[in-house]
Amino acid sequence: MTASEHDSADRSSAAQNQPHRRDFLEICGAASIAALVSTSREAAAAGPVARCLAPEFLQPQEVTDPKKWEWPLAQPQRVRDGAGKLVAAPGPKAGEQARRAWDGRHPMQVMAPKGWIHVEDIKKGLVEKLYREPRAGTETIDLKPPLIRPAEFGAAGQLPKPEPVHEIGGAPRDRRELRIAPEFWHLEGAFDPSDFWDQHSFIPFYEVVLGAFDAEIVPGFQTKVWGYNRQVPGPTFVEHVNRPLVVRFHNELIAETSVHLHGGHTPSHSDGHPAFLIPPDGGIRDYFYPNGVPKVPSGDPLSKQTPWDWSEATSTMWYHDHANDITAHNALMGLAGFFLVTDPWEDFLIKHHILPQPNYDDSRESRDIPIVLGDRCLCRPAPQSPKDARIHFDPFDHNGYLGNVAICNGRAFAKLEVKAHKYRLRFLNGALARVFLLQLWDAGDQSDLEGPQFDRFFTDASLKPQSSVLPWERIGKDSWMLEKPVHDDALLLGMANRADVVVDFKKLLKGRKRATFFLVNLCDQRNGRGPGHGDNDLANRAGEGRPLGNIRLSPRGDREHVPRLDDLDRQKAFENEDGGTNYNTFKLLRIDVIDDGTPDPCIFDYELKNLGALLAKPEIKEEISKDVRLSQQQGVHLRKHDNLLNELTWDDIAKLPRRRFDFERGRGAWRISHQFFSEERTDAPMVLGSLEVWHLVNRSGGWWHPIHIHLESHQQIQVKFDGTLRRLRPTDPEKLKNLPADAPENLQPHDQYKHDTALLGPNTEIIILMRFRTFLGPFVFHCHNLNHEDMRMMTSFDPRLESLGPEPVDSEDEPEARVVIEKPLVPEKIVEDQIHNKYLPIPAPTNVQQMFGDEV
Amino acid sequence: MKLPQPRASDRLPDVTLTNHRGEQVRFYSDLIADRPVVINMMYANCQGTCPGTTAKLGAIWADLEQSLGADLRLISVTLDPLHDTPAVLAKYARPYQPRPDDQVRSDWQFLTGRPSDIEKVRQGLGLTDPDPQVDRDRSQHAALLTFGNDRTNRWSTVPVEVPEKRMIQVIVRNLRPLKLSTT
Repeated sequence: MTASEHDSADRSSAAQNQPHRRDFLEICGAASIAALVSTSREAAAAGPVARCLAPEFLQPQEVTDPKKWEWPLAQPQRVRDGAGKLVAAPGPKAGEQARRAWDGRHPMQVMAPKGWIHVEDIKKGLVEKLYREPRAGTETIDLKPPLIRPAEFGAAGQLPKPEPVHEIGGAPRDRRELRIAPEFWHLEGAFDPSDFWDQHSFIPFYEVVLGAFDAEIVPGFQTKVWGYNRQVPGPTFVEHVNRPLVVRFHNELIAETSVHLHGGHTPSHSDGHPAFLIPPDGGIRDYFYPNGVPKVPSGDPLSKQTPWDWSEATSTMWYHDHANDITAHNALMGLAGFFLVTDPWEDFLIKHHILPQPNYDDSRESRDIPIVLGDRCLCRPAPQSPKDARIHFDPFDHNGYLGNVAICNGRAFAKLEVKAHKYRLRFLNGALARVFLLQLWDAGDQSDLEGPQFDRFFTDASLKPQSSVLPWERIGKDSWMLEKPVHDDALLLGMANRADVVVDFKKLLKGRKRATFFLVNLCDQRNGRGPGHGDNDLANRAGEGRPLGNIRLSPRGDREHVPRLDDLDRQKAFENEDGGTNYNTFKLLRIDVIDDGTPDPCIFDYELKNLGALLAKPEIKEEISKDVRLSQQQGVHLRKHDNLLNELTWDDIAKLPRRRFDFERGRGAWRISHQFFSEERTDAPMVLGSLEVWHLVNRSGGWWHPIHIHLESHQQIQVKFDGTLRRLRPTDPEKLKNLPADAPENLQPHDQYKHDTALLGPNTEIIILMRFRTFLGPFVFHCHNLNHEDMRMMTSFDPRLESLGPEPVDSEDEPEARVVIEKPLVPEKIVEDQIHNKYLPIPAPTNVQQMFGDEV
Repeated sequence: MKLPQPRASDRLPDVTLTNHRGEQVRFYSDLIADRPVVINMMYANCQGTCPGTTAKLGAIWADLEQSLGADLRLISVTLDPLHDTPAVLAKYARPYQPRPDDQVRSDWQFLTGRPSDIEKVRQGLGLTDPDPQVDRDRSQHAALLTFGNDRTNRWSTVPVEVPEKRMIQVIVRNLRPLKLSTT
């Protein structure tokens, strides 16, 4: 018996001996997913496929017996440290928080690893031993784990192995204690991380506790929230590309959870699939984040250039809850945090002050400030506890949650004090259903206002658009930096979208010593449909610097937008102590700028001329060849992107496999192509490594749907709404020369690069290019209006090793479910429309004219 | 008894309705308070989704009770109170009522009432459509199962098209008896 055979025998007997482990998987529905996927004839995965993640390794399971189906009710196993104390969650206590200045800055409590784990100790999916960092002086080892580059996989480093200091694992103590990839555990090669990093290296191991606690969202009021490590937003991960990590989540909450790393290229078992849950009340689950960049599959247009797709190196990701049916509630209660990643190139840009510098030790000195925006419906529940403000969640509302109070990094009426320097502000829309149209407004010198006066000023509508609108340079969208900065003074931020901007406060001060700016939201949004009134005005205007004339303002916020609170007897809308009502989602963040005369080291400029000058220096060239070459940086870019239209013509694109997904309302809930989400069905099984064209079509009237696709970024190539057609143009000058004179307008500058969430406005159709690399499914994509997601506007896609064949195959379990291969999904109802030539013709078009009509 | 804290069920009206046995019941206090419930809205003459919904509820009833206990209650409220009198509902309910030898001990009530009260129930359950035209059209009514456990204050909703086995899992996962932490 070889070592690997021994391992697998070990593993399968372990699974058999612990039947309770299967129970939980059945509860999660994971076992049923196993029944969905076919068994593979070729178990060995080739190329960039990570073996540990293949659903093809799953064996069909016995159908769950619902009668046995219950949550474990044993006394929860608390996590204790070596001294026997309960694991203490770090983070500020409510009182401490109140004493601090009301600071809208993220506390930047950067996650510190609890220790290091060794690859050999987690081969069986269990993390058993924890190592302290090797002591300085005793070994010649970098205190941090070595950076493992994909090109060096297999080249074993010779790092000595220190003795473990702490046994953290052993056999799981009860059925709620899951480890890495439990759904895949009984399978051969269920988890073998050696695909990802050096056999002899250590990776950091983090612990995060999910719990309920009181926080001060509004000054002077206590609000029950759910958070990661007693923080809202959760602690920030600051990570590096190609440095894998394992995070253990302890769920001390009363609801099941699932953690999704939004924007991450992450294996299925660690992706926060809605059915792969962490049990409530003491459950444990380990997530493995390889944190790498995907390998370019052979045959991909990009494979001529580079074996590793460094354009996928992420910057601004976030993690949040993704548990089935309860995502909206869990995320609303506070389960979200930032996950920032750099690669050698971004490190280089920061080191040489092209980008503003973060400071993770002292957040007040940081020039890199992540800001999660959101809204909460706050109410005061009971007269006998006047200092309680409660987050109201209405489980009977399936349209979209709107709050009466806007919050910034977990606080209402947030204030930020900055110097007259360049700052990198990373905005994230963490709201459930609110779309933000952000601008920075100048309010003059308001530095005297404090306390209640300040609160009143915050809610005062007197700040009008005639206050000057301040510009910024946009450098990132979603998880990735743009290729070049985009000059802008407004940005439309759909749910889950991120926008990375550099603001030069020195320039904005215009010679003054101090001034107050406000980050404002111009969207007039009255319900879960989205902003505006069913038109696409805002989407069209934002980012183009057009006059704001037609945009409807909501300076007093949205009192009428949340009428349901007033309808309830005991749920009075949140009120200020002086009786004034704070329905406010207009002013989001107050920024006080003070010019203290200190020079700004940051040399960021819109045209990246300083970067060009830097790169021309001989010593820098050497540095780049040494450290940065692997980032595949070519030329003066923030992040080199591949524009696929440089490689593909529209004729080529017309020949690619194509799927169409219609986002629509039906039967009081939300559907994709007439189907509600079912964990057992996939609407898109594709072969790993393939390139496909997806049509995302909004057929729900005036509703907005931000569509988030897990696992991979996507490239928008065409956006169509209400007679407007925009189409991505190639960047290659040769190709541009051949562009017909009447070619459609290019996409807006910030839309020309990668996305992980496409904001699908009313009556809009977005065509995207999708790749499926590295990991086998199942993964999901869904509407990021989380109420819609919970009401099943979600479906699975499932990259697999083999094609299921050219024809649709019905799943045995669900005859009504259609599994469609390499064909657009064509719901019955649309066939009629197609007959009238409104939509894609059948059969699949063979050229661009058929695909897009006469507009070509 | 209601707990002092605001609860999700606060938006459900406590109107008096009549069940298929002819008894007067209050919607919240008598039917929902302090127990797991599964609620749908239907009408006897429905040519659309209702027959399937009711049949599905009947099919999963025993399994739900097994996991959630005998104080589970299924509640079906008519959308057509002018036609669906208690007698009509009694006839409609007959195939779904447990036979004497069945193991099912929990309750399933079919309810009718004054149209204004029924409308309050529908609004309370959020089974409305923002589009007034769709909302008025009874044949396009929401095909959703609303389920909750007022004891644990947890509610959720699922489209009836979800397969039976999955439906049971979703309902039980949400409504399971809650074991609160000791610390």
